[in-house]
Amino acid sequence: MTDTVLIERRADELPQPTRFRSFAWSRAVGLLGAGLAAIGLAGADSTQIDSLGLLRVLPLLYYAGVALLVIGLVEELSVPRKRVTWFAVLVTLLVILLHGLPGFVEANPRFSTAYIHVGFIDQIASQGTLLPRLDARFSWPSFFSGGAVLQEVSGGAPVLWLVRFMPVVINLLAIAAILVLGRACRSPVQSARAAAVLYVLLNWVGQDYLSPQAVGFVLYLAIMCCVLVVFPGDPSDTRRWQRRWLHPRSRPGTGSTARGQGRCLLGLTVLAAVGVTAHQLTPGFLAASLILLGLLNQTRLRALGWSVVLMTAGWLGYAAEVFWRGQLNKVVGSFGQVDVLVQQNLGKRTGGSAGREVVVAGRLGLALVVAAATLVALAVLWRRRDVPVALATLVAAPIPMLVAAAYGGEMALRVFLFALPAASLLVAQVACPEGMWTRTRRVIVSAALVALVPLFVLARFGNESFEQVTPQDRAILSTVYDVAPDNSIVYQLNNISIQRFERLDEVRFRTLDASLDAKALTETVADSEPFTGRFIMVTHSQEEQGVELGGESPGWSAEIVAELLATGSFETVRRDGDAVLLRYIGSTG
Amino acid sequence: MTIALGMSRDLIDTSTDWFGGLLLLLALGCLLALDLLRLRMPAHVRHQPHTAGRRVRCAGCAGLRAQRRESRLWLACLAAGSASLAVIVVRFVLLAG
Repeated sequence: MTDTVLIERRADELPQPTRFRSFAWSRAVGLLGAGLAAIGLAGADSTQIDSLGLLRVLPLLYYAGVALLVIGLVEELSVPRKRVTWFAVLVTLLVILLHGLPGFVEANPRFSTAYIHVGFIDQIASQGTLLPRLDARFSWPSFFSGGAVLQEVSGGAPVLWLVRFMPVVINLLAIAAILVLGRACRSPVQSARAAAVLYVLLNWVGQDYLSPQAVGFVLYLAIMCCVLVVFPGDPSDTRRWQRRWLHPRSRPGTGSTARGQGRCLLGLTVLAAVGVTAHQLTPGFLAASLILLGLLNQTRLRALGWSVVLMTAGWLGYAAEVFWRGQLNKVVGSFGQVDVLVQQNLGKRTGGSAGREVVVAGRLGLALVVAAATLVALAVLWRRRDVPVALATLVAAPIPMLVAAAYGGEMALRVFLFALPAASLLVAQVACPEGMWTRTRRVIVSAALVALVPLFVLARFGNESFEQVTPQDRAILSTVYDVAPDNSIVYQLNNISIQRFERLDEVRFRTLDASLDAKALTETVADSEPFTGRFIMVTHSQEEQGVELGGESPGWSAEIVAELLATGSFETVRRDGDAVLLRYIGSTG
Repeated sequence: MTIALGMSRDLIDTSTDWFGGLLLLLALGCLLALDLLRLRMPAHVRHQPHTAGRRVRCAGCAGLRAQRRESRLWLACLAAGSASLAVIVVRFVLLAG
């Protein structure tokens, strides 16, 4: 009886939507903002991309439009609504305008690695074979095989059409998962929706392109949703130490056995197997989260995490043998070596031009803000004895992966990415609680989110000077495939450049040591004897990467090309802007 | 030594694939059975060995039988899983060189 009175009183105290607000001016503001941002995008010029990436390319109208859209979203969130339709429309527009940004501004789909993945998919679709000796990624083929099926279904042309807006699709799926996770962990609806907006503005990691890790991330979230919704832990199993130290949120009894759980478990096992065979790192995050959720009684599935461990070991041991044979030290050599791991994850990613340092500072700043906000949120919830232990587990579980391997300096990025959905939910629960959206809170939340927009653009698209694919670069690569005979080799000055787009086993790519002089470079090319065709491909991406990351002065690649031509051992096949293709014609000395 | 190493590699290539693979499947099957068993046995019907500080004897109850089955399955998982991991490690050590 007392509870009923309390609930009624609380319902009375909730801010009631006024007629003006129920007309939803928030939606009008949001739509107006999206329209203005779209008009602003039409005026962006990709040739103006500089060391700060897209930040200065976008006109003020774009930023004003996105700011209005964010304000509209906050207003939409501030009114308790059960229907998700308008929130879904506005947040989808936000994802399209932020994560789909290069798709509107740049001439070609971005990022060289996505082109390589398209090439891998085409290899499987057209030849029906894997090439694990050519590239280790073929040892985890399920993503590429799935892509090949899609290519065949869609008419047989390479799936380059997927690349341009893949980040939009991946982030929309992640948002859906965040909403489900929030519901599974009994987060208020408004908080879960606010978490989705936070996630969109904080996910600067850029692992959402056409890649196994992007699909692996979505699989991970789908499995976590399924585990927490269908197989939640039984509160009667909670240990005394857990109540005392973790201050878990009270949950209703979930001891019933619903029908179909066995089939669901089999489905989950199959999904986990797909994750294990798709990407090297995803199973690590999956196993860590599942095992920890089981240990803390957040799920009744205690064995699934260990199954993932065994499946991973089995796949690595038997199916990915080519990958680890001869390079075991490279794979696990940095295990537990903190200095090496810090150097790889942090030192290797910092440095470069002045603009590059600003970009890296923006990224580190955003990551630190997320970490600090998550810790504060956890402390607040702990004091309230209302900790959603499952979410806290999903934030903590990826962290041990930091000491497992450096993974080319990318492990810290992956840990941030995998912890971000749950971290967003925790922060939103404290910053945007249900029914407490006063005018002041709305203004503060709107201002904070609007301030994140330029920071997001800086951190997410700060590498566009060398990650964009210019029309000249694509034309040069097309020329390579037109003129290179079977069994050719194409040298590059560094590895960030479109390559391996087709004819994977007939045209190989290698990177030259650009610090060598022209004579030494010529000797390197001349020594690649078994190859019938020998080329050097210089692209705009290589030039920009050298300037931004390598500390080279602008025009360095053109100087090398001039020196190589001066040796008389090369001829120009094609020159298009700062993209050049040279053919080795033999030593004149 | 070289001949012995070569022979052991051949042996590993042929036999451990089958042996290790079967052990791995056995361990995975046990783990799956464990979760299925737990799903069919919610906590509130589980055997409670201590009730109000007093040990309750219920040797014949379904909860106790299920708990014993669970323990046996965990042991089987541990044995098969560690054996299959050992085979994989041996392959690592002998083939990585």
